[in-house]
Amino acid sequence: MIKDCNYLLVAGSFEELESKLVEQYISYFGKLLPFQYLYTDWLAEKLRPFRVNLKTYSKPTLCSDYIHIESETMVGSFEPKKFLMFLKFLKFTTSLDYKTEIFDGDSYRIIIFRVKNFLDVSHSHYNSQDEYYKMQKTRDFLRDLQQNLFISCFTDSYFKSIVTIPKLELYKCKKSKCWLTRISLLEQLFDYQYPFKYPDLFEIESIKLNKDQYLIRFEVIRLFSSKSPTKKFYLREFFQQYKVSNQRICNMKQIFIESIQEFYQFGLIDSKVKLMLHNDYIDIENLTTFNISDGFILYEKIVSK
Amino acid sequence: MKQNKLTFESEGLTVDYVTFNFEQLNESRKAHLINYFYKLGFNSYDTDRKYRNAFDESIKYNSKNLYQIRFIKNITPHWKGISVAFTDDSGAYFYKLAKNNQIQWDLFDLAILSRFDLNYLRPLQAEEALGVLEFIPLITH
Repeated sequence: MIKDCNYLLVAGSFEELESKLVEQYISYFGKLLPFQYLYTDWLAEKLRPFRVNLKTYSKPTLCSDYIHIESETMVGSFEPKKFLMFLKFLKFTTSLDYKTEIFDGDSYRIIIFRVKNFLDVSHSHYNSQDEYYKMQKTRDFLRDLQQNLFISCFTDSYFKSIVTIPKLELYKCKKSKCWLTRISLLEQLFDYQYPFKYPDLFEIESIKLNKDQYLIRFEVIRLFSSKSPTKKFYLREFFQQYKVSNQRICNMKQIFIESIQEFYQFGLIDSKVKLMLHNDYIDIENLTTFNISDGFILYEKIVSK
Repeated sequence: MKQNKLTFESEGLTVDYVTFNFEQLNESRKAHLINYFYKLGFNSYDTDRKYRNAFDESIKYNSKNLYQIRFIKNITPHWKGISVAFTDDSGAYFYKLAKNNQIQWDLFDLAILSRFDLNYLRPLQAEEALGVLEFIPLITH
Protein backbone atom coordinates (compact mmCIF):
# COMPACT_ATOMS: atom_id res chain seq x y z
CA MET A 1 0.00 0.00 0.00
CA ILE A 2 2.69 2.48 1.00
CA LYS A 3 4.58 1.71 -2.25
CA ASP A 4 1.47 2.55 -4.25
CA CYS A 5 1.06 5.76 -2.28
CA ASN A 6 4.66 6.70 -2.97
CA TYR A 7 4.10 6.24 -6.68
CA LEU A 8 0.78 8.11 -6.76
CA LEU A 9 2.10 10.98 -4.65
CA VAL A 10 5.14 11.58 -6.83
CA ALA A 11 3.10 11.09 -10.01
CA GLY A 12 0.61 13.70 -8.81
CA SER A 13 -2.32 11.24 -8.98
CA PHE A 14 -3.98 12.77 -5.96
CA GLU A 15 -7.52 11.69 -6.80
CA GLU A 16 -6.51 8.02 -6.84
CA LEU A 17 -4.23 8.41 -3.84
CA GLU A 18 -6.96 9.98 -1.71
CA SER A 19 -9.59 7.50 -2.80
CA LYS A 20 -7.35 4.53 -1.88
CA LEU A 21 -6.25 6.00 1.43
CA VAL A 22 -9.77 6.98 2.49
CA GLU A 23 -11.04 3.46 1.77
CA GLN A 24 -8.14 1.98 3.70
CA TYR A 25 -8.71 4.37 6.60
CA ILE A 26 -12.42 3.64 6.83
CA SER A 27 -11.96 -0.09 6.51
CA TYR A 28 -9.14 -0.25 9.09
CA PHE A 29 -10.93 1.76 11.76
CA GLY A 30 -14.20 0.04 10.94
CA LYS A 31 -12.64 -3.22 12.14
CA LEU A 32 -10.83 -1.62 15.07
CA LEU A 33 -13.37 0.61 16.80
CA PRO A 34 -16.66 -0.27 18.50
CA PHE A 35 -19.79 1.40 17.10
CA GLN A 36 -22.07 1.46 20.11
CA TYR A 37 -20.45 4.62 21.43
CA LEU A 38 -21.36 8.08 20.28
CA TYR A 39 -17.66 8.89 19.82
CA THR A 40 -17.56 6.68 16.74
CA ASP A 41 -20.69 8.07 15.06
CA TRP A 42 -18.44 9.72 12.46
CA LEU A 43 -16.99 6.34 11.52
CA ALA A 44 -20.43 4.75 11.20
CA GLU A 45 -21.33 7.60 8.88
CA LYS A 46 -18.36 6.84 6.67
CA LEU A 47 -18.95 3.09 6.67
CA ARG A 48 -22.67 3.00 5.93
CA PRO A 49 -22.43 3.53 2.17
CA PHE A 50 -19.99 0.60 1.96
CA ARG A 51 -21.67 -1.92 4.21
CA VAL A 52 -21.85 -5.44 2.94
CA ASN A 53 -24.05 -7.11 5.54
CA LEU A 54 -27.50 -6.44 4.04
CA LYS A 55 -29.61 -9.23 2.60
CA THR A 56 -30.91 -7.08 -0.23
CA TYR A 57 -32.04 -10.00 -2.36
CA SER A 58 -34.85 -10.95 -0.04
CA LYS A 59 -37.19 -7.99 -0.53
CA PRO A 60 -37.80 -4.77 -2.44
CA THR A 61 -35.76 -1.99 -0.87
CA LEU A 62 -35.88 1.74 -0.27
CA CYS A 63 -32.89 4.04 0.06
CA SER A 64 -32.74 7.06 2.29
CA ASP A 65 -30.44 9.76 3.50
CA TYR A 66 -30.27 10.73 7.17
CA ILE A 67 -33.72 12.02 8.04
CA HIS A 68 -34.36 14.96 10.28
CA ILE A 69 -38.00 15.71 11.00
CA GLU A 70 -38.95 17.40 14.24
CA SER A 71 -41.44 15.38 16.27
CA GLU A 72 -43.81 18.40 16.37
CA THR A 73 -43.83 18.36 12.58
CA MET A 74 -44.64 14.68 12.65
CA VAL A 75 -47.77 15.28 14.67
CA GLY A 76 -48.66 18.35 12.62
CA SER A 77 -48.54 18.89 8.89
CA PHE A 78 -46.01 16.27 7.82
CA GLU A 79 -47.35 13.42 5.70
CA PRO A 80 -45.22 10.28 6.09
CA LYS A 81 -47.04 8.69 3.18
CA LYS A 82 -45.85 11.34 0.77
CA PHE A 83 -42.30 11.17 2.09
CA LEU A 84 -42.27 7.42 1.55
CA MET A 85 -43.66 7.90 -1.94
CA PHE A 86 -40.78 10.27 -2.52
CA LEU A 87 -38.28 7.54 -1.57
CA LYS A 88 -40.13 5.22 -3.91
CA PHE A 89 -40.13 7.84 -6.61
CA LEU A 90 -36.34 8.16 -6.40
CA LYS A 91 -36.04 4.43 -6.92
CA PHE A 92 -38.61 4.41 -9.73
CA THR A 93 -36.84 7.13 -11.73
CA THR A 94 -33.44 5.40 -11.49
CA SER A 95 -34.42 2.83 -14.08
CA LEU A 96 -36.02 5.23 -16.60
CA ASP A 97 -34.47 6.50 -19.84
CA TYR A 98 -33.35 10.09 -19.74
CA LYS A 99 -31.43 12.81 -21.46
CA THR A 100 -29.18 15.24 -19.66
CA GLU A 101 -29.37 19.01 -19.57
CA ILE A 102 -27.25 21.54 -17.73
CA PHE A 103 -28.93 24.31 -15.76
CA ASP A 104 -26.76 26.89 -14.06
CA GLY A 105 -23.73 24.58 -14.08
CA ASP A 106 -25.55 21.57 -12.58
CA SER A 107 -26.47 18.45 -14.49
CA TYR A 108 -30.14 17.37 -14.52
CA ARG A 109 -31.86 14.27 -15.86
CA ILE A 110 -34.87 15.03 -18.05
CA ILE A 111 -37.28 12.15 -17.71
CA ILE A 112 -40.69 11.60 -19.29
CA PHE A 113 -42.93 8.88 -17.91
CA ARG A 114 -46.56 7.86 -17.69
CA VAL A 115 -48.14 8.82 -14.40
CA LYS A 116 -49.86 5.44 -14.44
CA ASN A 117 -46.48 3.69 -14.40
CA PHE A 118 -45.54 5.39 -11.17
CA LEU A 119 -48.98 4.70 -9.77
CA ASP A 120 -48.43 1.01 -10.49
CA VAL A 121 -45.31 0.90 -8.32
CA SER A 122 -46.75 3.08 -5.56
CA HIS A 123 -50.26 1.60 -5.44
CA SER A 124 -49.69 0.16 -1.97
CA HIS A 125 -49.71 3.71 -0.61
CA TYR A 126 -53.41 4.10 -1.38
CA ASN A 127 -56.20 2.41 0.48
CA SER A 128 -58.85 3.30 -2.06
CA GLN A 129 -59.54 1.06 -5.02
CA ASP A 130 -60.88 3.98 -7.02
CA GLU A 131 -58.54 4.40 -9.98
CA TYR A 132 -59.60 7.98 -10.59
CA TYR A 133 -58.91 8.91 -6.96
CA LYS A 134 -55.49 7.20 -7.02
CA MET A 135 -54.55 8.95 -10.24
CA GLN A 136 -55.61 12.28 -8.78
CA LYS A 137 -53.54 11.69 -5.64
CA THR A 138 -50.51 10.61 -7.64
CA ARG A 139 -50.70 13.78 -9.70
CA ASP A 140 -50.96 15.81 -6.48
CA PHE A 141 -47.89 14.09 -5.15
CA LEU A 142 -45.93 14.80 -8.30
CA ARG A 143 -46.89 18.48 -8.12
CA ASP A 144 -45.73 18.57 -4.48
CA LEU A 145 -42.33 17.24 -5.51
CA GLN A 146 -41.32 20.56 -6.94
CA GLN A 147 -41.60 22.33 -3.60
CA ASN A 148 -38.49 20.53 -2.29
CA LEU A 149 -40.53 19.58 0.79
CA PHE A 150 -39.31 16.02 0.93
CA ILE A 151 -35.68 16.61 0.15
CA SER A 152 -35.61 19.14 2.99
CA CYS A 153 -36.13 16.21 5.39
CA PHE A 154 -32.72 14.89 4.34
CA THR A 155 -29.82 16.27 6.31
CA ASP A 156 -27.42 16.62 3.39
CA SER A 157 -26.66 20.33 3.22
CA TYR A 158 -25.82 20.20 -0.48
CA PHE A 159 -29.27 18.90 -1.37
CA LYS A 160 -30.85 21.54 0.84
CA SER A 161 -28.91 24.31 -0.83
CA ILE A 162 -29.86 23.45 -4.38
CA VAL A 163 -33.05 23.08 -6.38
CA THR A 164 -33.22 19.35 -6.95
CA ILE A 165 -36.39 19.38 -9.08
CA PRO A 166 -36.49 22.69 -10.93
CA LYS A 167 -39.12 21.76 -13.49
CA LEU A 168 -42.10 19.45 -13.58
CA GLU A 169 -44.91 19.39 -16.13
CA LEU A 170 -48.00 17.23 -16.04
CA TYR A 171 -49.94 16.94 -19.25
CA LYS A 172 -52.30 14.68 -21.08
CA CYS A 173 -50.97 13.05 -24.22
CA LYS A 174 -53.28 13.95 -27.12
CA LYS A 175 -52.78 10.63 -28.86
CA SER A 176 -52.94 8.11 -26.05
CA LYS A 177 -55.01 10.27 -23.66
CA CYS A 178 -52.78 9.19 -20.81
CA TRP A 179 -51.21 11.51 -18.26
CA LEU A 180 -47.51 12.13 -18.71
CA THR A 181 -44.91 13.79 -16.52
CA ARG A 182 -41.85 15.58 -17.77
CA ILE A 183 -39.49 16.19 -14.89
CA SER A 184 -35.97 17.53 -14.35
CA LEU A 185 -34.10 15.83 -11.53
CA LEU A 186 -30.69 16.78 -10.22
CA GLU A 187 -28.22 14.17 -11.50
CA GLN A 188 -26.55 13.97 -8.10
CA LEU A 189 -29.72 12.50 -6.62
CA PHE A 190 -28.81 9.38 -8.60
CA ASP A 191 -25.06 9.39 -7.84
CA TYR A 192 -25.58 9.94 -4.16
CA GLN A 193 -24.35 7.20 -1.83
CA TYR A 194 -27.39 6.84 0.36
CA PRO A 195 -26.35 5.73 3.84
CA PHE A 196 -29.44 3.60 4.44
CA LYS A 197 -31.07 0.83 2.53
CA TYR A 198 -34.20 -0.66 4.06
CA PRO A 199 -36.55 -3.49 3.32
CA ASP A 200 -39.57 -1.76 1.82
CA LEU A 201 -41.95 -2.16 4.75
CA PHE A 202 -44.70 -0.55 2.70
CA GLU A 203 -44.63 -2.87 -0.28
CA ILE A 204 -47.04 -5.56 0.76
CA GLU A 205 -48.91 -7.68 -1.72
CA SER A 206 -52.66 -8.01 -1.45
CA ILE A 207 -53.23 -6.16 1.83
CA LYS A 208 -53.42 -2.43 2.40
CA LEU A 209 -51.66 -0.91 5.36
CA ASN A 210 -53.85 0.85 7.87
CA LYS A 211 -53.04 4.26 9.36
CA ASP A 212 -51.25 2.84 12.41
CA GLN A 213 -49.17 0.44 10.36
CA TYR A 214 -48.10 3.35 8.23
CA LEU A 215 -47.33 5.56 11.18
CA ILE A 216 -45.27 2.98 13.08
CA ARG A 217 -43.35 1.67 10.10
CA PHE A 218 -42.48 5.21 9.14
CA GLU A 219 -41.41 5.95 12.72
CA VAL A 220 -39.07 2.95 12.62
CA ILE A 221 -37.47 4.27 9.44
CA ARG A 222 -37.32 7.84 10.74
CA LEU A 223 -35.62 6.85 13.99
CA PHE A 224 -33.30 4.45 12.27
CA SER A 225 -32.14 7.08 9.73
CA SER A 226 -30.01 8.83 12.32
CA LYS A 227 -26.27 9.27 12.53
CA SER A 228 -25.75 7.38 15.76
CA PRO A 229 -25.50 3.57 15.40
CA THR A 230 -27.46 3.32 18.66
CA LYS A 231 -31.14 3.74 17.81
CA LYS A 232 -33.29 4.77 20.74
CA PHE A 233 -37.04 4.17 20.62
CA TYR A 234 -38.73 6.05 23.46
CA LEU A 235 -42.09 4.37 23.17
CA ARG A 236 -43.72 5.79 26.29
CA GLU A 237 -43.14 9.33 25.07
CA PHE A 238 -44.16 8.36 21.56
CA PHE A 239 -47.54 6.99 22.63
CA GLN A 240 -48.20 9.99 24.86
CA GLN A 241 -48.54 12.05 21.67
CA TYR A 242 -51.43 9.92 20.46
CA LYS A 243 -54.59 9.63 22.51
CA VAL A 244 -55.59 6.12 21.59
CA SER A 245 -57.01 3.11 23.41
CA ASN A 246 -54.81 0.61 25.23
CA GLN A 247 -55.76 -2.09 22.77
CA ARG A 248 -54.68 0.08 19.89
CA ILE A 249 -51.39 0.89 21.64
CA CYS A 250 -50.81 -2.83 22.10
CA ASN A 251 -51.38 -3.39 18.38
CA MET A 252 -49.03 -0.54 17.54
CA LYS A 253 -46.32 -2.04 19.75
CA GLN A 254 -46.75 -5.30 17.89
CA ILE A 255 -46.12 -3.42 14.63
CA PHE A 256 -42.91 -2.01 16.13
CA ILE A 257 -41.78 -5.52 17.02
CA GLU A 258 -42.59 -6.94 13.58
CA SER A 259 -40.86 -4.06 11.80
CA ILE A 260 -37.63 -4.33 13.74
CA GLN A 261 -37.64 -8.11 13.38
CA GLU A 262 -37.81 -7.50 9.66
CA PHE A 263 -34.83 -5.13 9.99
CA TYR A 264 -32.98 -7.89 11.81
CA GLN A 265 -33.74 -10.42 9.06
CA PHE A 266 -32.45 -7.86 6.56
CA GLY A 267 -29.13 -7.64 8.44
CA LEU A 268 -29.49 -4.06 9.66
CA ILE A 269 -29.30 -4.67 13.41
CA ASP A 270 -27.71 -6.88 16.03
CA SER A 271 -29.78 -9.60 17.64
CA LYS A 272 -29.39 -8.03 21.09
CA VAL A 273 -31.87 -5.33 22.07
CA LYS A 274 -31.63 -3.24 25.21
CA LEU A 275 -34.90 -2.69 27.05
CA MET A 276 -35.45 0.66 28.70
CA LEU A 277 -37.66 -0.96 31.32
CA HIS A 278 -34.85 -2.58 33.36
CA ASN A 279 -31.83 -1.90 31.15
CA ASP A 280 -31.79 -5.60 30.27
CA TYR A 281 -30.41 -7.01 27.05
CA ILE A 282 -32.62 -9.57 25.35
CA ASP A 283 -32.71 -11.39 22.03
CA ILE A 284 -34.82 -9.76 19.40
CA GLU A 285 -37.19 -12.74 19.19
CA ASN A 286 -38.07 -12.29 22.86
CA LEU A 287 -39.55 -8.82 22.45
CA THR A 288 -43.14 -8.55 23.63
CA THR A 289 -45.67 -5.75 23.74
CA PHE A 290 -45.21 -5.79 27.51
CA ASN A 291 -41.42 -5.60 27.81
CA ILE A 292 -41.07 -2.76 25.29
CA SER A 293 -43.52 -0.48 27.16
CA ASP A 294 -40.87 2.11 28.04
CA GLY A 295 -38.93 1.67 24.85
CA PHE A 296 -35.86 -0.11 23.57
CA ILE A 297 -32.47 0.47 22.01
CA LEU A 298 -31.33 -1.16 18.78
CA TYR A 299 -27.71 -1.50 17.71
CA GLU A 300 -27.07 -0.95 14.05
CA LYS A 301 -24.91 -3.56 12.37
CA ILE A 302 -22.32 -2.22 10.00
CA VAL A 303 -19.94 -4.64 8.35
CA SER A 304 -17.74 -3.31 5.57
CA LYS A 305 -15.27 -5.00 3.25
CA MET B 1 -22.37 15.61 -0.41
CA LYS B 2 -21.43 11.95 -0.44
CA GLN B 3 -20.65 10.95 -3.98
CA ASN B 4 -18.66 8.05 -5.33
CA LYS B 5 -15.46 10.06 -5.31
CA LEU B 6 -13.77 9.84 -1.92
CA THR B 7 -11.43 12.66 -1.03
CA PHE B 8 -9.74 13.76 2.17
CA GLU B 9 -11.90 16.87 2.09
CA SER B 10 -15.19 15.01 1.56
CA GLU B 11 -14.39 12.72 4.49
CA GLY B 12 -12.98 15.40 6.80
CA LEU B 13 -9.55 13.75 6.91
CA THR B 14 -6.29 15.65 7.23
CA VAL B 15 -2.73 14.54 6.59
CA ASP B 16 -1.02 14.27 9.94
CA TYR B 17 2.41 12.74 9.40
CA VAL B 18 4.54 12.13 6.33
CA THR B 19 8.00 10.55 6.34
CA PHE B 20 10.46 9.59 3.65
CA ASN B 21 13.26 7.14 4.39
CA PHE B 22 16.72 7.68 2.93
CA GLU B 23 19.06 4.72 3.21
CA GLN B 24 21.80 7.28 2.87
CA LEU B 25 21.45 11.01 2.93
CA ASN B 26 24.64 12.86 2.08
CA GLU B 27 25.31 16.35 3.38
CA SER B 28 24.84 17.96 -0.01
CA ARG B 29 21.35 16.47 -0.49
CA LYS B 30 20.45 17.30 3.08
CA ALA B 31 21.52 20.93 2.56
CA HIS B 32 19.40 21.07 -0.58
CA LEU B 33 16.39 19.82 1.34
CA ILE B 34 16.98 22.24 4.20
CA ASN B 35 17.29 25.27 1.93
CA TYR B 36 14.48 24.26 -0.38
CA PHE B 37 11.97 23.75 2.43
CA TYR B 38 13.24 26.80 4.31
CA LYS B 39 12.06 28.93 1.39
CA LEU B 40 8.69 27.19 1.55
CA GLY B 41 8.23 28.07 5.23
CA PHE B 42 9.86 25.12 7.02
CA ASN B 43 12.41 25.31 9.82
CA SER B 44 14.69 22.28 9.98
CA TYR B 45 15.77 20.10 12.88
CA ASP B 46 17.96 17.10 13.61
CA THR B 47 16.57 14.48 15.95
CA ASP B 48 18.37 11.45 17.36
CA ARG B 49 16.01 8.74 18.62
CA LYS B 50 18.87 6.85 20.21
CA TYR B 51 18.09 8.63 23.43
CA ARG B 52 14.93 8.16 25.40
CA ASN B 53 14.36 11.91 25.69
CA ALA B 54 15.20 12.80 22.13
CA PHE B 55 15.16 16.51 21.47
CA ASP B 56 15.20 18.53 18.28
CA GLU B 57 18.38 20.35 17.40
CA SER B 58 17.70 23.33 15.22
CA ILE B 59 19.53 23.44 11.87
CA LYS B 60 18.03 26.43 10.12
CA TYR B 61 15.42 28.58 11.76
CA ASN B 62 13.36 31.65 11.05
CA SER B 63 10.65 32.74 13.45
CA LYS B 64 8.40 33.56 10.47
CA ASN B 65 8.44 29.96 9.31
CA LEU B 66 5.44 28.04 10.63
CA TYR B 67 6.36 24.48 9.67
CA GLN B 68 9.07 21.93 10.44
CA ILE B 69 11.10 19.35 8.58
CA ARG B 70 12.90 16.83 10.80
CA PHE B 71 15.90 14.68 9.98
CA ILE B 72 15.57 11.72 12.30
CA LYS B 73 18.28 9.14 12.86
CA ASN B 74 18.21 5.92 14.89
CA ILE B 75 14.49 5.48 14.35
CA THR B 76 15.05 1.79 15.07
CA PRO B 77 18.17 0.12 16.47
CA HIS B 78 18.63 -1.88 13.26
CA TRP B 79 18.13 0.73 10.57
CA LYS B 80 20.85 3.26 10.06
CA GLY B 81 19.22 5.51 7.50
CA ILE B 82 17.63 8.92 7.91
CA SER B 83 13.94 9.58 8.09
CA VAL B 84 12.77 12.94 6.81
CA ALA B 85 9.56 13.71 8.66
CA PHE B 86 6.80 16.27 8.30
CA THR B 87 4.72 16.02 11.45
CA ASP B 88 1.28 17.39 12.40
CA ASP B 89 0.46 20.66 10.58
CA SER B 90 3.73 20.38 8.68
CA GLY B 91 2.52 17.10 7.16
CA ALA B 92 -0.73 18.71 6.09
CA TYR B 93 1.14 21.66 4.60
CA PHE B 94 3.61 19.39 2.81
CA TYR B 95 0.67 17.59 1.18
CA LYS B 96 -0.94 20.88 0.23
CA LEU B 97 2.29 21.93 -1.47
CA ALA B 98 2.44 18.58 -3.26
CA LYS B 99 -1.09 19.06 -4.58
CA ASN B 100 -0.11 22.53 -5.78
CA ASN B 101 2.89 21.04 -7.65
CA GLN B 102 5.30 22.94 -5.40
CA ILE B 103 7.40 19.97 -4.33
CA GLN B 104 10.59 19.31 -6.25
CA TRP B 105 10.36 15.53 -6.27
CA ASP B 106 13.88 14.90 -7.51
CA LEU B 107 15.02 15.82 -4.00
CA PHE B 108 13.32 12.60 -2.88
CA ASP B 109 14.43 10.35 -5.74
CA LEU B 110 16.63 8.31 -3.38
CA ALA B 111 13.93 8.07 -0.72
CA ILE B 112 10.85 5.97 -0.21
CA LEU B 113 7.65 7.08 1.41
CA SER B 114 7.56 5.22 4.72
CA ARG B 115 4.66 6.79 6.55
CA PHE B 116 1.55 8.70 5.54
CA ASP B 117 -0.86 9.22 8.45
CA LEU B 118 -4.35 10.66 8.30
CA ASN B 119 -6.48 11.85 11.13
CA TYR B 120 -10.11 12.66 11.75
CA LEU B 121 -11.05 15.09 14.53
CA ARG B 122 -14.43 14.51 16.05
CA PRO B 123 -15.57 17.63 17.89
CA LEU B 124 -16.53 16.83 21.46
CA GLN B 125 -19.64 18.41 22.98
CA ALA B 126 -19.31 19.52 26.61
CA GLU B 127 -21.75 16.86 27.83
CA GLU B 128 -19.78 14.12 26.05
CA ALA B 129 -16.49 14.83 27.78
CA LEU B 130 -17.01 12.60 30.80
CA GLY B 131 -17.80 9.47 28.82
CA VAL B 132 -14.49 9.69 26.96
CA LEU B 133 -12.76 8.45 30.12
CA GLU B 134 -14.72 5.19 29.81
CA PHE B 135 -14.32 4.97 26.04
CA ILE B 136 -10.56 5.41 25.72
CA PRO B 137 -9.60 2.28 27.74
CA LEU B 138 -11.97 0.22 25.57
CA ILE B 139 -10.08 1.03 22.40
CA THR B 140 -6.58 1.04 23.77
CA HIS B 141 -6.60 -2.37 25.49
